[in-house]
Amino acid sequence: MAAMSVYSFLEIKRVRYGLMLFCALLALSSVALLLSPFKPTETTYYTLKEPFARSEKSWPYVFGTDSLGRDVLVRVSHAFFLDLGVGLVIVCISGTIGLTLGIIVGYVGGIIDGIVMRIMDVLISIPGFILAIAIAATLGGSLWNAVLAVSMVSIPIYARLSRGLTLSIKENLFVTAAREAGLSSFKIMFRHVLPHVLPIFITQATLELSNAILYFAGLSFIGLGAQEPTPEWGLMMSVGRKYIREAWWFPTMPGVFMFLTVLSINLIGDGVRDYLDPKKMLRV
Amino acid sequence: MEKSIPYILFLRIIQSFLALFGIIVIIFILSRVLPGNPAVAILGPKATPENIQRVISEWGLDKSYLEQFMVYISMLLKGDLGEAYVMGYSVNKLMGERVTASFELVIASFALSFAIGLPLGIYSAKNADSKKDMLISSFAVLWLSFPTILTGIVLMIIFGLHLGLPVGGRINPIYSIRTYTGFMLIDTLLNGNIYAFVDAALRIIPPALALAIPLSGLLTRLTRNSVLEVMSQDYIKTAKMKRLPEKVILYKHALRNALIPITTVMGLYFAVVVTGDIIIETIFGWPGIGRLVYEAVMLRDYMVIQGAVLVISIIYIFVNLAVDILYIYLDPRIRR
Repeated sequence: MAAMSVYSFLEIKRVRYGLMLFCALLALSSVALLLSPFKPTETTYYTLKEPFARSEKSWPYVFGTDSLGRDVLVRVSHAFFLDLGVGLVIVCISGTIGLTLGIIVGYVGGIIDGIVMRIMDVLISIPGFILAIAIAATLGGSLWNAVLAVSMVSIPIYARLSRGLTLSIKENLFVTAAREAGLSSFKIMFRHVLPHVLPIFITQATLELSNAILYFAGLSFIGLGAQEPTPEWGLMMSVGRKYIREAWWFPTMPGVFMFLTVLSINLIGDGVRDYLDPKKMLRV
Repeated sequence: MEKSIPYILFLRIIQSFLALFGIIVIIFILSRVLPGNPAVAILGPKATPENIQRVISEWGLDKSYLEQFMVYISMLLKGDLGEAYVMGYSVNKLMGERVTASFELVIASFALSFAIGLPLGIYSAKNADSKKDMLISSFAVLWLSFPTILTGIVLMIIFGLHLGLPVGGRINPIYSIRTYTGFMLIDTLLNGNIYAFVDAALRIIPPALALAIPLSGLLTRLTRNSVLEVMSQDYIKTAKMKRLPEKVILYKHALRNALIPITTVMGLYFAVVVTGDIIIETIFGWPGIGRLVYEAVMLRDYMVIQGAVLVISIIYIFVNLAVDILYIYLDPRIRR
């Protein structure tokens, strides 16, 4: 049964393309990081070399070099793991908090529910990126502060989602039965409600991953995220745009990598959503 | 459980003001949890003992949090966003010059996105499920995934380097334009300087296009689905049976109603624009609020960041409120 469903999951075109794209990016980044003779933060005199320019070492500068003579391919590949990792951390932090909060207030209800959800309403009524800027500017520009800022901004989406799901799930007979059997609220929430919230939650989290990456790169771009010499897409584009005349590849390559990564995640996420929604399956 | 329109409106307005209050509280809390002494953080490099003392007394930082909040609220009610200690001038003055620039850019990008998205969506719906439709739909999805930073940089390269057009800023500084409305496109015309107008128009296109690309992707998809849905309604079938010409059915009957759901997601578009605006203004050196935020971050002028975040959020909340009111006005089914 499980094998069947994995198979039918891969049948969805978008998921297949998304996974293929993602694996290609992963393979390219891994190869560049493991085999390339260049180091992501090692500066040289060969500044702003065009793509495929010869170097002293065994590899050419495949994506050219940046203003400090660092190989762009290696930096972009390093940033692939960094940005993806950061995105996952953000989704994990905000997802865990949002999920827990949503299930608890949804299950308990009453005044706590009212207060928490009104706070979430306010947070949602501000554009997320703007709020992230406010938080990151308060904490000071650094990678971890940006992670914290984006995580805090993303909590309301998960909280709203899991609260709504919990509200409908707790009306089911099996929850009533569990309560009658004398199970503690804690056990009901996390042993009986949680498994039913998770599938839709994970779909949302997949789609939010690309948002998290974009927000984080955006914060880095305006100087509130990763700082030099960390190889990060947003930061590389921020520095690179000053060299747009001499070296188009310097700001563009990180952007292309980011675009393809986000695209592959979106394709997979969309596919997951279709997969879980039988009505939409018919259209695929 | 029939709720009257004034009641719904009243609730919606109350909700907006609650959100507004919430944002003020959030910004207040943020400014008071600044690492170290808030006065030092607000002053930045200008933190001399006298200045610190001045800020502490001005903001009541030596009093209780409730009193500090009252001071903050009363300042905001007077419309005073405080002083930009690092960048100089008051935050109000800095913002005032910039708001219209951003506003002009946003309007231009909305206009562009409608000019691209609506025809594509209608065309897609007319040829539903054909190859052309598939192609347009996939492009629409692709546009949505395009990161704004990359769009901006690519357009900068195309317009600036390949086409050799003027990019960056609002207008070439050699033109001296007297300000009437604050909108460069209108002001240049009022000045009667046609060269300046062309220059301004050329400079606004790339940043506006960068903002319009994700929007037009959204709009194409939405228009397509909305038109298709309306076209399957009974009154369209009636119109078809009356043998009205295809064009009349599409443009007079279908499109009007198909546009209603599009207006409701304008608020969503606006969030996309506001987010992209900061990045696009930074890339193109557009002297709007977004660029101001970037400059303030670079100079670590906390007061300016705080003020800009507040102003952007307020605009955002009221745009959403206006959209909801517009929706009630547009859709007769709700009005009744």
